[in-house]
Amino acid sequence: MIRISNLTKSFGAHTVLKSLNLHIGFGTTVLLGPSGSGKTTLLRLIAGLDKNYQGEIDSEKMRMSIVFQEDRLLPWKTLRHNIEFILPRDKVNQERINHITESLKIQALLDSKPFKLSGGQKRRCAIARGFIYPSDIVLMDEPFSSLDLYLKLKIIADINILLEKEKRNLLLVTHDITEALLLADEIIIFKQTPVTEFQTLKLDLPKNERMLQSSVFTEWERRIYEYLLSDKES
Amino acid sequence: MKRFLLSKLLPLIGFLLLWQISSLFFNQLILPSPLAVFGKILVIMKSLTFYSALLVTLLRALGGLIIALSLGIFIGFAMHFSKAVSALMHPVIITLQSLPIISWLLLALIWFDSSVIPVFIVAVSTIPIIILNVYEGLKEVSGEYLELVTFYKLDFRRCLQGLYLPSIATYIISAYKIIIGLCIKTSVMAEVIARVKQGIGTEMNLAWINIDTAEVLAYTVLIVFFTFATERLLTFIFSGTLRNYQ
Ligand SMILES: Nc1ncnc2c1ncn2[C@@H]1O[C@H](COP(=O)(O)OP(=O)(O)OP(=O)(O)O)[C@@H](O)[C@H]1O
Ligand SMILES: [Mg+2]
Repeated sequence: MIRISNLTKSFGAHTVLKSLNLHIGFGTTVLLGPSGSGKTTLLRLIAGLDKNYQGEIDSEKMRMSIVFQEDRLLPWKTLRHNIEFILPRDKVNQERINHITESLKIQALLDSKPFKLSGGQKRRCAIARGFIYPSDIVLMDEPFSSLDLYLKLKIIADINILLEKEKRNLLLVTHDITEALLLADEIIIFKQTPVTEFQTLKLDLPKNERMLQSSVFTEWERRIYEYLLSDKES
Repeated sequence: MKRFLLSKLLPLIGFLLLWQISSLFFNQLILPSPLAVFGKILVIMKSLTFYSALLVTLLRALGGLIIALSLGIFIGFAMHFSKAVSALMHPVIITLQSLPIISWLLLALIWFDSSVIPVFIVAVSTIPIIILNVYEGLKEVSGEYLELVTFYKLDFRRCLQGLYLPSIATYIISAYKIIIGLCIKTSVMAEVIARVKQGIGTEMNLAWINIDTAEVLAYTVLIVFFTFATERLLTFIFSGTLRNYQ
């Protein structure tokens, strides 16, 4: 679906991605990796926000929407207007806005301005905006980082339902293993910089919270740690 | 209320007292007493001529402001989006700002009919402020928001309504009190010097010719008062909009 070939990206002398070949398939792909490993950099390249790179990124003209690492809500607009702001004029569907914001528990706040909201509420609005936009794939950069555990689990469950129902794809960047396991069909793990190699894990787990208590979950967790902590590199 | 008494009313009373005492040592023509000026204010405020003159002066200030706003916003935008225009306009703005208003007035006396001179003077004296505020406001539009615009390929109109205008508005609104005061003051000054047929400046000029110092001071107090009132009125009218952009 998204094909990345021979991708190299540097900031000055600092090479972040080097001759990277990567294929992102349908479903939910999670990019996992430590801070500073180049996850955001790759996401921005895929999003087309940074055109300064060598190699090829082919996203087959898919329509994308994005949830940035920051909320990026306009302070002078209400949440509703912030959401409508990015929508194509013929795609403003109040029912859809109401439905998705309801499952993210911010519907009652739609007519408030961002400054009146808590960090988590703003975060949820940014997430809602990414999903309400009619895209084939949603790109998200650490969207849950400011949410408490319960809310995070609830939102992840809602996102899974939404993705299933609308047959949409998700590319999620995170460094949280639990998040990755709850959402992913495939996990791509970055370890060293510059990123050339990575580990791909294909998952077939039931996507619900009960899975967190099962031995399958701990098994996967163990495998991820094993890869992250192995010293094979260098 | 107590604070208001202490911080506003007491200094005012002190000032008036000082004025009253000083006026005892001078001729009425040099320094009339506050009471005499107050009497004049009452007389002036009873006459209809005053209100029509006030209206004309305010309309001139408004006219100049509208011209300055439309030209200033346009130029500010052009400067933001074109390096060439920005390079060209920067020295022009600096020159505009440092040119003495009296030079503009003298030129305007040659170029224009007297009644439009105040409008012109208000426009040239406020336009640099407007341009710079628009320019700064546009610069402040954060790159994070502009990325939203490029990512979702939003058209210029939406970008204008959603990003640029609100950002400019915050800047212009924060400067509007200075701008309004400036507009009214320059309008009156130009009226005096251009000897227009109607306006507060005309009335002041007449008082001055008659060496009626009390009346000159009375008009001064009235200008201060009406500038303040206009400011308050506008704040009241636009309070909804103001809140929107904060
Ligand atoms: N605009 C930039 N200019 C220079 N260096 C940059 C820039 N953006 C990122 N980098 C560098 O690229 C590397 C990867 O950054 P990136 O933001 O992709 O990390 P990340 O994996 O998203 O980390 P985090 O989990 O902390 O968000 C870092 O070493 C960072 O210093
Ligand atoms: Mg990042």
